[in-house]
Amino acid sequence: MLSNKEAKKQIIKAMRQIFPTTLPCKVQEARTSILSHMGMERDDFGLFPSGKFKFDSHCSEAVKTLKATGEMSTNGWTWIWEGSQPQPIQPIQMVVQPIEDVLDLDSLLDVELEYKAPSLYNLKDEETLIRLVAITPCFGKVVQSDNVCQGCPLFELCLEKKGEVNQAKKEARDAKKEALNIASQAGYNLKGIKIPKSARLHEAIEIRSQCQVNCVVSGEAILKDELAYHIPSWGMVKKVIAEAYKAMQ
Amino acid sequence: MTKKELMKYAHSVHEAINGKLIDVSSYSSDHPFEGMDIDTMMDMVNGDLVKKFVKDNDKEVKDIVSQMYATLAINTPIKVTKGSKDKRGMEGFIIHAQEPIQGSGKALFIYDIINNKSCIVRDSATKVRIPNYGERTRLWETYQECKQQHPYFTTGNEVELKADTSRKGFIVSDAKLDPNLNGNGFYQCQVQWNDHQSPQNGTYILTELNLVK
Repeated sequence: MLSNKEAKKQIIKAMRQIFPTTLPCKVQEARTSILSHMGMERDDFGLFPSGKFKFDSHCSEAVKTLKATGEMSTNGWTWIWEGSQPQPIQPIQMVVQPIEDVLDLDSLLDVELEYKAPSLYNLKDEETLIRLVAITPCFGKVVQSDNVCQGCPLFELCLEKKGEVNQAKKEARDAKKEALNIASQAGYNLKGIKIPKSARLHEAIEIRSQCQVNCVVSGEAILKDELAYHIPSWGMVKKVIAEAYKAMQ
Repeated sequence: MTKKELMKYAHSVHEAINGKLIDVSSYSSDHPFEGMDIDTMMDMVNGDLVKKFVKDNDKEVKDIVSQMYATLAINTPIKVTKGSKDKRGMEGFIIHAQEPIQGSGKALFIYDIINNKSCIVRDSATKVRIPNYGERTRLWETYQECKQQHPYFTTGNEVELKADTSRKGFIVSDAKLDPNLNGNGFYQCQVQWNDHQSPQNGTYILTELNLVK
């Protein structure tokens, strides 16, 4: 570890080297820049018995010295450099010489560059993933060409989800089409039928009618002892129609 | 589908499933489906339509009672909003309205037909309310019953309290209308109870009592 005197000397030296270009700035920033210039940490300078860093004290001492020489001044927490400015550096003259084309650019272009957005989250952790999905309202609505979507850490999962949703929609469409066809073959056109929001199709139960009642969809009579379905919050329906609706579910 | 058609269809669906019609309450005043159980109807037929008819009905009833309240008409359903703890929150009907002894507005005699409670409040301490389904039927019934029964509730007859049939006592004054209500209100009589519970005597409207043969 450096002695106090040596440490102060080195800090002043560092200050003289970097402050002409870095000041004015706040105390903390200036101290950090000194440390990074010296390639050291705060605790490399040691600690007082009270636990405080000696480096801070050395800095104050150094500033005091530089202020006395008129090289530095302070304004509140801001340090200002008053000493000589560094000489402008002469631009280096570069000589460009033609070289042999040893680098095959075409081979570089062949390499498939895969850009992966950096993520703050560890998506391998299931809990993190669940939470992230929960706070992402647009999850599953990815637009592949959208730059924002491409930068999203959930991009690939979102694509997967969208695919699943689309697949489910397609399956539902196909099932509906098939069910409508079956009903149509039995002589019922269900295309124009408006199903009430309240109707609980999934709770439909098959019953043997105890009296004559009309089908709520076709208006036809369901005779006594005929097998039919009751769709809660809608009414009685013919068996064929109910099965078609069930298939659509 | 009209309301009547929906009701008819609900009955037929219920009968097809359960072999009987939907239960109908005899207390059907202000009811959207003449006393048919609304939850059962919701289950049997188009729930959206049922909700719509209930909403329309409630709006209609609200308009009617609001008009009644504007003139402080007798039998307007109201709620007491100000006053002592006993009065505040009480829901009843205006049985009688008159000029107050002092101050502005009107003094209202309120009767709660469900809990058999009454009070007098200033009209500014009340607001109109939508009556519960069947509540007004009960009100008419009470008027009717009191009117029909009052010749039998005469001094000396033994009676018991409907709410607590262990309480028995004797009528100490013939049934009559409250003289303070100008011919409005229900027939009532004074009863002296045999037991030593408090209150030992009191005034009761006739539907609160049973005649003991």
